Amino acid sequence: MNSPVEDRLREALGEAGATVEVGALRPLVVPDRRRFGVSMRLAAVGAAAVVVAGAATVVGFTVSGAGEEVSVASARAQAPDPADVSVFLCTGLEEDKQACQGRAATEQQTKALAESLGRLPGVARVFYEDREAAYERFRKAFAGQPGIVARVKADDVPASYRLTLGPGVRPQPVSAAAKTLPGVAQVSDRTVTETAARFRDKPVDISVFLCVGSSDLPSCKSYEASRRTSKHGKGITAEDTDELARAIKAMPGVQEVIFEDQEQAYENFKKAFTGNKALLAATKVTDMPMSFRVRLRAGTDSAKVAATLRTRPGVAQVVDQKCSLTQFRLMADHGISRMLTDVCG
Amino acid sequence: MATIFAEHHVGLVRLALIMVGDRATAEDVVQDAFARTHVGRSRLRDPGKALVYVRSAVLNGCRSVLRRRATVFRRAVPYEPPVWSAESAALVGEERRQVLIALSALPPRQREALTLRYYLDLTDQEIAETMGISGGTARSTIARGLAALGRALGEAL
Repeated sequence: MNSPVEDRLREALGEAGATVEVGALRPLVVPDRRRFGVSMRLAAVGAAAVVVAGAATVVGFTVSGAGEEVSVASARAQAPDPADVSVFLCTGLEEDKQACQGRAATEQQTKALAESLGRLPGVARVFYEDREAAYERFRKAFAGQPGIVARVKADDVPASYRLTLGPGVRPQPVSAAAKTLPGVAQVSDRTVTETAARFRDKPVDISVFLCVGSSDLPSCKSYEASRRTSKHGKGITAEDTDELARAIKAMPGVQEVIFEDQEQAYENFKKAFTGNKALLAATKVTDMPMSFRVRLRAGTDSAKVAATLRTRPGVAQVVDQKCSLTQFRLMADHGISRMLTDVCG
Repeated sequence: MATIFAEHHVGLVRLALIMVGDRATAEDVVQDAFARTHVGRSRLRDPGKALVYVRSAVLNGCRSVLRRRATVFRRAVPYEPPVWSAESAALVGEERRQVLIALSALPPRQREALTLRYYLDLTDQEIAETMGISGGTARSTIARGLAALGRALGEAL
């Protein structure tokens, strides 16, 4: 009973519909009642901006889609640094192929992003930073670390949309929504960059953790095996501790060494996890590590110092905080993700 | 209401895509419809009608988009070429493209009715409820739309 027209229509509609794949959609956002008035106001402001831009296009520029209007209007303004939310676009060179599948963000995706990011609830303004400007900013930020600048090529630095949020808007929902959009490699927000800034001013570049009786690391097991008597178990001996302290102080580039014993470590631990009663109850002072906290002089290669310290007897593990911070800043401020070994190798 | 959207999200976006032609706008329309129906969800008397209600909201959203494009700027410039245009790589067959172009040239009501019937396979009664018209009107709209489509395709071939 179906006519050929009906069949053709059915097939064509089916195929057109199927171009939208399951699972590739932006998630729906539940409107938040408390913030509804605010976002409506912002939407009105946004609409006004588009209308103004639309008027400008009528005056004399090429006719363009709404997405382009947003990015053109914002390209002239200076992007805030640090931004409330930074949305880094795909360069196609990401090591993790999950988000971008090895493809750079297309022009279309970039335009569509300006539009959709501007529409996320709570977003006040959208700025676009192109790859050239991003590379410039990266070079300035790492001017003191020529090793890093040498390792990152201009092609590795992604373009980004930098968002300003309305007053009192939490950045996490915005960054979570932005992460799912096509052409977005990664997103960082104020909470992340602020954490990085806090660590920057800490007086510790390298932490050297020592073996204690409860250590289970291979480095501590081989330390125990290397000694004739195992009276002290796996813990580092007092002589070796003194020896190590002297050795660290004598290393070139070391400015200051602070010893942190198990009691101090436990105090810091308690402060860091005040809210977590279960964890605190399960942790004893003797579970805590002893450590040397090392501050380096400016310009010292932290990776080299850390590598030397790792080979010392009685050392459980060495954490190169300076290197981790550099990696963290590369990611949070510039959208460049690198392996630790690649940052400081 | 949220579960309706979760279950039918893709379907609703596909419906909107056929109506407005580009995917980004289609997703926006569905998001807007979700936000609007979410606010009014407590006023819904018959939970069994939720899907009809939601589909109507999406269709209304599509109508608004098309109206805005047609009147305010006097130009239809979506930031993605419509799925049925030659620039879009989404559709393979020229044959399919012709059908969709012919469909998009029909009056909006006929287009909606045909899409609901031949894409979502709704009954006359369901189509009538979704579009807010009577069953008889739905039937005649579909018949007229089909006839017009046949004529358009007959000419094109």
